[in-house]
Amino acid sequence: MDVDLIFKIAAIGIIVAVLNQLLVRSGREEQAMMTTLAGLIVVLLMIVYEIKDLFDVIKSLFDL
Amino acid sequence: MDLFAVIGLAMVAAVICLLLRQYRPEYALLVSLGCGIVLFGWILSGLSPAFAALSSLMEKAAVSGKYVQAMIKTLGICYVTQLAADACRDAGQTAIAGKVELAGRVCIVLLSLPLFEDLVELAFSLIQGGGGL
Repeated sequence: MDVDLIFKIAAIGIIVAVLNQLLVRSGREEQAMMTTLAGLIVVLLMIVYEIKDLFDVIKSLFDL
Repeated sequence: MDLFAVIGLAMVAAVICLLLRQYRPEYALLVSLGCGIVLFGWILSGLSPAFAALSSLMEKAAVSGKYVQAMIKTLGICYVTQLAADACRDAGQTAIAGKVELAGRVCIVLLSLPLFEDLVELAFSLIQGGGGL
């Protein structure tokens, strides 16, 4: 539960957007698509661990 | 939980979402989901002393711990379901959000059925006791 998570996701999003633009302009659409996909997977992995932590907290707090 | 920290984080995340939505809409969704998770964690840390106080209060009032536990469990199911349904709705998937809410409702019904049975038992015993008079 750290604020840095949000800024990390935002930074990855901006970097991927810039890389995507660069690769599309230089005519490498396939690599641009791969970059987008890789960034999305990285961010999803980060989110999944946070969701696991949150669910552990909820389970212990609400006796679920 | 600090209210001003929550407000600040929410506004910063909203601005970041607005910025990212122009370039990569999927990252705006992920930022909003991450913000929701972090805020929820903070809010839950503020909620646990309230639960302890509520439990001790109910013990003093001689209410069975089973009922308080069922109530708290229902609250937890509501919060989790709301989080997931809102995330789905943000992603534009209203149908999936509806299914998540339906699953939450079913869970709550299953959880509260034993309590309803207790109530019906009590009503029957009262009726039968009244018939003897």
